[in-house]
Amino acid sequence: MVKRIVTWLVAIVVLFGLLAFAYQRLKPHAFHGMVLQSPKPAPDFTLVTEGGKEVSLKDFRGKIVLLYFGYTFCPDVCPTTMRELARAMEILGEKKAQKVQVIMISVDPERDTPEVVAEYARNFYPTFIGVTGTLDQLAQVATMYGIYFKKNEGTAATGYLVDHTATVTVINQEGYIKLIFPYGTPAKDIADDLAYMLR
Amino acid sequence: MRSRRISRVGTLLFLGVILVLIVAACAPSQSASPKIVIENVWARPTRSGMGGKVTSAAYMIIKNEGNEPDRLVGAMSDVAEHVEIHQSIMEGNVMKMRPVEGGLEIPAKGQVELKPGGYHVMLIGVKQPLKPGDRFTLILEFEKSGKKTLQVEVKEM
Repeated sequence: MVKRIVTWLVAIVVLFGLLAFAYQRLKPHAFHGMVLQSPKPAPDFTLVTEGGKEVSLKDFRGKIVLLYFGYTFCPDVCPTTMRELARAMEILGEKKAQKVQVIMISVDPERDTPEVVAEYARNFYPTFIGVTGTLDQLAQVATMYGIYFKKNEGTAATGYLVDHTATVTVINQEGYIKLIFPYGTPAKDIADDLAYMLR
Repeated sequence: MRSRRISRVGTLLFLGVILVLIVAACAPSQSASPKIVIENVWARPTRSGMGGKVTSAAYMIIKNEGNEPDRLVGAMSDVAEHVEIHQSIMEGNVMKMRPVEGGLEIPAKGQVELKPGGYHVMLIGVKQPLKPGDRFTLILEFEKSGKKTLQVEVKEM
């Protein structure tokens, strides 16, 4: 009698375990970022990194591309975001991080040469790329991606500051915009979404 | 008769002294004044690859345990050419950074947290690289409490 009860209990526990496992595997992933369903591929662009090397979006087809528009003089929001992106790569691990390309686009070409922004981006994570262009080129790319930026007068010490959209745009392996991460998205949420896209 | 009068004068004197002592003991807590306590002070490392001047930001919690508000009106440090109090303001998804005009109020019996994406002490023209683990001195100037000297630890967030 006791033996039969124990057998039943074990069976029930095993069944629940299997159900929980199946649920974990089959439930739809709830994205932390804002999901976009774009009918058209993300617009291509060509900007410049160190050594005058051209960088185009289409170079990274097959990888997830994360675009962040910022500037290196920015002491608060930009390094916070870049640091979260670097921590997301650390959470993913080197192997998965190789399938993700972070591109920082400087919207401050007066202060940030391609060399400067390339070194700045690399400082956060070795594979990060920094690019920039002429003001006209940057305005064009920003418009295509719904990014706002505007130079604003600062103090004598700061010179000028740049107001800018502080979101991260995620382009999937097929070249479509998939997600937008608002400012302040934690690294683990970013890593979670990217890991799902890389599954 | 005479001795009784002396003792009465003595009693009055004694009571008078006690009264003065009580008033003196109460006085500091009755007069309004701010009492600034600063905690969790840290700053971001600098990076190579910064166009223009090298910048960093310092963050902390400023508490005011007193019963009168105070105002953070300025800051200085030997490690930077200029130090300003700034605020990052989010409007929609657009981030705007502005100097705080007229000082940052620290309410009585309250606190203000300086944190990423909000208020911060901006270091402009940092003269030497700030690496995680480094420490430097930052002086904050308050309208009423005067100057407070802080030891800031550099760390990655």
